[in-house]
Amino acid sequence: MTPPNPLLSGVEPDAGAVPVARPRAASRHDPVTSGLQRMFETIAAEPIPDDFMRLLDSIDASADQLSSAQHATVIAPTPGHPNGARNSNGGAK
Amino acid sequence: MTVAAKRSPVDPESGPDQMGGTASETPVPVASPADFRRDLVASIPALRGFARGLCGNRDLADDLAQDALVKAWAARDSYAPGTHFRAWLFRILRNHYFSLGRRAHRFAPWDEALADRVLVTQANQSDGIDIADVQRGLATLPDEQREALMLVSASGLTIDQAAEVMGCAPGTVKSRVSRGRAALNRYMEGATRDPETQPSPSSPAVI
Repeated sequence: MTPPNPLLSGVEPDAGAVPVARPRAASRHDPVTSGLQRMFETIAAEPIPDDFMRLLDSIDASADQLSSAQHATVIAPTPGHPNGARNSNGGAK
Repeated sequence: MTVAAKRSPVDPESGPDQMGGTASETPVPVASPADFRRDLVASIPALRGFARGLCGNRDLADDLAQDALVKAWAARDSYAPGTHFRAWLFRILRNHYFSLGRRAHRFAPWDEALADRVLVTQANQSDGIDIADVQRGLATLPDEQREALMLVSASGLTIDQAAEVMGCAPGTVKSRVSRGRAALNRYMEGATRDPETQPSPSSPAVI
């Protein structure tokens, strides 16, 4: 039995809930499938450009803003409220 | 985990969601934003690979993948945890790609950067397959065959999952995979026999 390769024991780029495509046995005899898999894996193994993470960060920021705005709408002070309570946007409408 | 009252469409351009089952009035479990974001990040490499195979151009592919991420985030309530997340993302991306039209693809230049890298990789491979030939040949296939090969042969989706992504019957996917594989095999055999007949790097894909 072959011992596990320590270089392959780390977290895979596609780890988590999404299973990683594994080369299938049939592809060993099918140059087209083998070539397609290798092409796909070559691209998938590239470092993820910073643009992608910046995009996700901006999505997160937008989601937070939206969440704050919705929260503010819910707790916005009504006219004549004794506390004059401020919402999470500092009272801004 | 929260529960959405009703499933919304995945993408306004694509019609009803087919990846998480049929639209229904029963409550649908919804992933937490943190879980959803984690799965999105984990799927970026596969999303880029699928997009690159679909359009054959690095910059356009990354634009497509980023657009798909934004659309997926906007439609995250429609994703049902436990269903195939990557297939759901692929469907969003391919619908967006085809909604943009095929003009951009037809005139997309050959991806020289990828070709250089895979040709270097080729030196260490023992099966004699030139990945640059694969990508050139892929660009000569009709969209539906190229898409089927990328989903099933390259990314490893099942026929049924690919059928849901493509919005067609499993038998249709099998047929497209079979015809695409045969055509690509012919191309690769021809490229091996006569390298001078390959299209020049700057020539547009022929559809």
